[in-house]
Amino acid sequence: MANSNEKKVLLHLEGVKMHFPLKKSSIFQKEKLCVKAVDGIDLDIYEGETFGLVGESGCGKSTLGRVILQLYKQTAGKITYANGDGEPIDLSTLSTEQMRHLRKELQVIFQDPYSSLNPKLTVSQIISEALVAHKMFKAGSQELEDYVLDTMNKCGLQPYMMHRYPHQFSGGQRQRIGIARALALMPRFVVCDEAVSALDVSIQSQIINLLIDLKEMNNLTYLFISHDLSAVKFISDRIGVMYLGNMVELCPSEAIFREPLHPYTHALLDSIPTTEEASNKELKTIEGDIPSPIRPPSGCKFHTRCRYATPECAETAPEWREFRPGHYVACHYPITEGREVDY
Amino acid sequence: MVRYIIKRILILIPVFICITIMLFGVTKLMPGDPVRAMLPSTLKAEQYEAAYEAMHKKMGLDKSLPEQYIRWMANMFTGEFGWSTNYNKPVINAVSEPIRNTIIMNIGVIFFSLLIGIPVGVVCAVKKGGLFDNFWQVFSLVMWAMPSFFLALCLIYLFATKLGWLPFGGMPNTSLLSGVELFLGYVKHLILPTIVLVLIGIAGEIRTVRVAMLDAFNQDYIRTARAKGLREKVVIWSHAMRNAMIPISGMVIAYIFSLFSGSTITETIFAWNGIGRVLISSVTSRDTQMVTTMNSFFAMLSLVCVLIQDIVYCIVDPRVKLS
Repeated sequence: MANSNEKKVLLHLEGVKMHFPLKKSSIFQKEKLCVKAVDGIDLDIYEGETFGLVGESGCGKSTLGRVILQLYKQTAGKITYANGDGEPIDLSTLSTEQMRHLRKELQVIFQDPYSSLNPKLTVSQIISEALVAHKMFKAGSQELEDYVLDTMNKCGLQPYMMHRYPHQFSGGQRQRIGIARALALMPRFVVCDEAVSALDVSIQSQIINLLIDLKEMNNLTYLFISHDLSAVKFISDRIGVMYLGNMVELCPSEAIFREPLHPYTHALLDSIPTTEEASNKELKTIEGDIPSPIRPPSGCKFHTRCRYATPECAETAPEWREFRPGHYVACHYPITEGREVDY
Repeated sequence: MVRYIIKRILILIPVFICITIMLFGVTKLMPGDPVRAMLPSTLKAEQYEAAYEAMHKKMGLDKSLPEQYIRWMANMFTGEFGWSTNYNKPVINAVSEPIRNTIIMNIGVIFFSLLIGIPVGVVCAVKKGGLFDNFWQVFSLVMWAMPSFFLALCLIYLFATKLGWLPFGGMPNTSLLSGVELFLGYVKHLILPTIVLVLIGIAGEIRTVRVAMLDAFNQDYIRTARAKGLREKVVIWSHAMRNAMIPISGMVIAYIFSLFSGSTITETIFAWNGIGRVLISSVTSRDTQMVTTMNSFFAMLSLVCVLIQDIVYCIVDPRVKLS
C-alpha cells in the first residue's frame, strides 16, 4: 500500500504493553509475575479504514482494543489520537475526566450482547444516557427522543421497542441496541470487539452489512476484532494477526488470504472449515494450546507450535519488517511459495 | 402491577392460616395449665374446684380443638386478643405500649444503620483492598462475631458507670416529664441501645452491600457504562447500585424484621420495656394468650415484609414484572 502515507493517521500506537499483575502465590516467590496480554504493539490506524484484528482466544486482541479506548490503563507505550482538528492527543496522559469527554469520539461495541446491556434500563434509556452525559441533548427533550428513534431506525430497530428492556430481545436485536448505543454519539472511531461472534451466522451477515452501511454514512473508522477470519476478510481493509500479545503479520486484507507470510497465519487459514465439496481435505489444526502469557516462550513466541521452527527461532525474537510494500511480518523464515488452497 | 400485588396477597392467605394453625398447636402442646396460673392459690379446695371449672368454661377450653381454633381466629379478627394472665389486663392493652416502645427505639436504629451501612459498603466496594475497605472489613467481622450483651455491657461500663453521662437503662418517666424534657429523656435512654444495635446492624449491612456492589462492578454493562463516557458517580450510584438493589433491598427488609423480633437481649439489658422483653416474660409466666397474640403479630409482620419485598423486587427489577 504505497499510498498509505498520504492517508491521515487516526490512531498511532507505539510499543503498547498491557501487563496484568498477578497475586503472589506464596511469600517466598521473588519475581513479580504478570499476564502479558499485550506485549509491545506498534500500529497505525488510518482514518476511514476498517482494521481487522484476528488471533486465537487469549491472544490479547480484546485487551488491545480496550487499551486503545483507555478502558485499561496501559503498562507502557504511547497511544496518539488525532482529533477532529488533526491535533495529536496522547491518550495515556489524559485524566479520567478528559478521557470521559473523548469517549464521545471513541466508542466500542462489546462482544456479548447479553451481558453488556444493563438489564435495568430500557432501550431508550440505554441509548439516550450517553447523549445526555455528553450534553448533546437535554434530558427528556423532544429532540432527544426524535434523535434516539432516528438512530434506532438506522440500526434496524422498530420505534415500539423503545420502552422495552434488553431481556425482551433476541441476540441480534440486542447487538443492534449495542450498535445504536455506540453510534448515537456520532463517534469517529469504533472498536467492534467481537461484535458478531456471539450471533448465529445469518444474523452475523446482517450485522456486518449494517456496520458497513453505517460506516459509509458516518465516515467511521473501525477496529474490527474477531477470531472469525471470513468475517474479518469481508469487512476489513487491512488485517493484523496477533499471537500471544504480539502482532505477527499485517497486510491488506486480500493479501492475507492470497499470500500469507507467517506460519501462524497459514495455520489459521488452514483451520477454516469450508463447505466446498471439492475440497475434501482434512482440516489442519494447530497443535497444542496457546502457551501461557505469564511466561511466554523465548525468541519467537510461536516457535513451540511452529512446523518450521529452527533453533534460531527459540533464541532470537524475529524483527518486525516490511517484507513487501504494505505487508509486514515478524518471522525469520516467512513462507513465500504459493499456498496449496486458494481462498 | 396491581394484579401482581393482589396475586401476592392471595398467596399469603393460606400461608397465614398454616402459621396460625401451627402456633395454635404449639401453645396447646406447651406444658402448664393457663387456668391454674390465673387462679389465686389462696382459695380453699372446693372454691378452687368451682372457680377452676368456671374459668375453664369461660375460656372455652372445654370445646373441641378445631372449635377453639376458629373461635380464636374469629376473636383476633374482631380485635379481641384475649386476657393476659401475666399483666392481668386485656392483651391488646398489655401489648400496645411495648410495641410502641420497640418502634420508637427501632426507628432510630434503622435510620442510622442504613445511613451509615449502605454508603460505607459502597465505598468499600469502590476502594476494594484499600485501607478504608480493610478497616471496615475488620470492624464488621469483629462486630458480627461480638455478642450484643457484651458490647452493651462494655458501653454501660464506660458511659454510665465510669463517665456517668448516660443512664444505665430503663425508660424515661412519662408521668413526670412532658414536652421537650420527655423527648430528651427518650434520647438519653436510647443512645446506648441504639449504638449497640447500629454497630451490630451495620456489620452485616456493610458486608452485604460490599459483596452486592462488587458483583455489580464485575458485570459487563458496567464496562459499557464507562465506555459510554458517563461520570464515575453515575456509573457507581446509578448503574451498579440499581443492580445491587435486589440483594440490598432483601437484606434491608430482613434486617428491619429481625430488629422487631430480635432485639430481645438488648431490650432486656437496657431494661427497655419493648416487645422482645415482654415476650420473654410472657413465655416464662405461661401467659398463653399473650404469647400467641405476639407470635401471630410477628407472623403477620413477616408476611407483610415478604409482601413488601416482592413489591420492591418488582419495582427494582423490570424482569420480575412480567412473570
